[in-house]
Formats: sequence, structure tokens, C-alpha cells
Amino acid sequence: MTDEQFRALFAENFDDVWRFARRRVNGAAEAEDVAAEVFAVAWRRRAEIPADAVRLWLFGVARFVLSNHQRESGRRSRLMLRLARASQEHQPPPEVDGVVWQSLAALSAGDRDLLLLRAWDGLRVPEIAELLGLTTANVSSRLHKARNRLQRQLDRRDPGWSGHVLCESPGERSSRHGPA
Amino acid sequence: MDRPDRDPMHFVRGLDPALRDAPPAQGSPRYNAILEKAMTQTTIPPLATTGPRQPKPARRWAVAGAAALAAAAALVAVVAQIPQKSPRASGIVLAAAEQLSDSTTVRGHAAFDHPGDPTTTADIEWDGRSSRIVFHEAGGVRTVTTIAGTIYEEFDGQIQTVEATVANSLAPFPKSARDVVRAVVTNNDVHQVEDDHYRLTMTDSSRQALGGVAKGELAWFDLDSPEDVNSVDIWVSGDRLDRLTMTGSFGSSDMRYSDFGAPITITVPKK
Repeated sequence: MTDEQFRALFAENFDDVWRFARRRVNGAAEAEDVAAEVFAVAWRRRAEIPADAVRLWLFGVARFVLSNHQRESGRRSRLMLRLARASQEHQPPPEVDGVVWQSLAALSAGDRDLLLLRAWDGLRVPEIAELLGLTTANVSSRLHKARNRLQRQLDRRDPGWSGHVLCESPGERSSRHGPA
Repeated sequence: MDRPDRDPMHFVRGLDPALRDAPPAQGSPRYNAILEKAMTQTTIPPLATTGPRQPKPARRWAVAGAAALAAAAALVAVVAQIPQKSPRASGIVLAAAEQLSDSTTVRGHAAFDHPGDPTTTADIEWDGRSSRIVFHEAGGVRTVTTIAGTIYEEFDGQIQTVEATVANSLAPFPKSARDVVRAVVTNNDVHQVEDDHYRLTMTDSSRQALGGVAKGELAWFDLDSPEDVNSVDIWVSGDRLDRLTMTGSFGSSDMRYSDFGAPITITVPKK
């Protein structure tokens, strides 16, 4: 791969890799660090990049980089405190429904990974299968189960959530949940 | 057919953090810096994926045989000191963890030791939905209350609040212990050390299983590197798990459970 070809690959995939990272770290700066590391690996291993699956290959590298990145972050800041403490970096925008966040958090890491690859990264089932090294049938079945488990978590936290959350006004939502 | 607004994935899509941030623009200094830095990396030759396998070195059977004899002799000498492996131990421990998980409310006391850090202890209350954790740290007392999707952190007279997210949410307290026990005990041997004390020495498979436990569950044990755990000890009282410790190169984590089903009220902290 020539320098020019790599620059084209970078231009075509940088945004996607950055977004993939951003969805799994706390802020834009961390996402940049992860994306930079992914493309550094890509340059070093540019002879191995499959021409017909560049984006998935980069996502695979990103998963590896993120795994190391999270391990190092964990060493710097102990997990329980990091998870439980308030942090402005973690603060979601006000329109985010806490029930959905909590339901996602209650799922296993495997379920959550699958659902987010599908919902956030927009990967199709065969792409997820390739990324995770699983069969398409396996991913399809696991996605179905994960989606059902998410549904159950949502129902458990708020039996009336389905079909209402998007339709009601903030005032109606407050009254349904009762006074704070 | 599901309406889009009834599909949970529809809501998940709306939470995408990348919808609210943008990557550095093409041609921006940061964008160019990342590209240029990447292209200064040293190239690594592709990994060999084909080709004949290298023959394994011949085993030195004589040495291995002698080692085996020595090991057998040593085994005879120490066998009386090995904790008894009980075929029922795994079942007892799993049932005890289930019993704990069924608790409607519970309190906990944790002690976390990490090499190079002062010991942190924590008093925990969990009322079935909400939790309050009082950390006793070297720097003072810090209270973290999670209630109705909001996390309140009190320290030094100040209260900070933040909405609970995937990244900062803890899983239900007693269920987390059950899931840890399930992960490490399934398909592994548990030894009964004393009447109410069971021990599991971690293996590759149990470490792998522990690594699959949700981060929000491991967090109760202040554990972020399951591969660093060497052993898990479990104490059972009255058919219920009441203490779980993990030790390894990360240090140790000791969690004691009590007041099962006791009335616990957790309220929003007042300023």
C-alpha cells in the first residue's frame, strides 16, 4: 500500500473509527487517542489490511486498542470509585432516558456489546459475526436474546415505558413516576 | 409488526454518544497530526499464517520421569494438608449465592486492599432499587447514593449529581455476588476449607468466565482485572452466602453481607 493509498484509507475511515471509539470511551479527546492508535497499528500492518473489509478490520483493531486502553484506565483509577462517582464527563444530555441507560447497564457485557454494535455502529449481522469471530446464525440468535433481555429490563424498571415514553410530554412523564 | 417507538433498539440508538460529538474535521490540525503520527510508525512484517510447523523439541522423558517421581513423593507428603474437595461444595456455594441474590434488601461491608494504596472500606446499603455507599478513604468520607437514575456524591460538604449511565451504573448488589460465584464456580472445583468456608483456586477457564461478568457487577468488588484474581473464598451461613473475598496480584477485596431483608430506606441526600 502506498502512502497515497493509506491517506485515502484514512480519509475514508477516520470518522467511522473515531465514532466507534467515541461510543466506548468517556469523551472526544479519548476517542481521538484511540483512533490515533488504531491508525498507527493500521499503518504498521498495512500489508495485512483486507481490501474488501477495511472498516471491519479497523473496528477489530479498535476493539483490541479499547480493551488495552480500558485496562490502563482501570489501573489509573479504581473501578468502583470511577463507576460510582459523579463525573461531568459521564453526564448524558438531559433528553436521555435514564431507564434505558440503566437497563443497558444491567445486561451482561456480551449482550450490551452486541446490541451497541447493531444499534450504534449500524453493523449488519454478518459484519458483527465477522468482527467477533462468530457464525452469523450464532450472532442472530444472541442478538435476538439480548434484545429480549433488554426488553425485560426495561419492563422491570418501568412497565409502562413501551409506547409511551416518546409520546408523552415531560410533565406527563413526571406525574407517572410520582413526585421526586 | 413492532412500531418503531416500541422497539427498545430505537431508544438505544438515541443514546449514541457519537450523535453529540464530532470527530476532528478533515484538514484540521488535529486530523493531520493523527495521520502524520500514524505514518511515522515502523512497519511490522505480516504475521506468517502458512508454512510448515516447526517440529517440537524432543521431550526429555528421563528428566520428566524423575520429576514425576519427585512430584509423587512430594504429593504423598503434603496430601494430608490439602483442603478436602467436596463433590457437593459447588452446589452448596451456588445455592448460597442464589439465596443471597433473592434478598430484597441487604447491607454490606467491604474492604479493598491494593498494593501501594491505603485500604479503603465501604459500608453499603441496598434497598432493592437504590444504593448508598459510604467510602472511608484516606482523604475522608465520601458517600455515593444512587437513586431513581441519579447518582449523588457527597464529599467535604458538597453534593454533586449526575445521571446514571451505562458507564457509571452499578448492577444490583446481591445479584452481582451471585453472578461472580456462578462465573467462577461453574465447571470448576470448589474445596471445603472449613465447615462454612469454601475456596476456589482460579483457572484459565474461571478467569475467562469472570471476565465475562458485567463491569457494573465486578465494580462492587473493586475489580477491573479478572485475570489478576488467584483465588475466591466464600463463606456460607444458614444456607446463604455472607462473605466473598477475592485475592490476587491486584490485592484483595473482602465483601461481607448482612441484614438480609431488613428495612432499609435510601433517600436523596439533602444539601
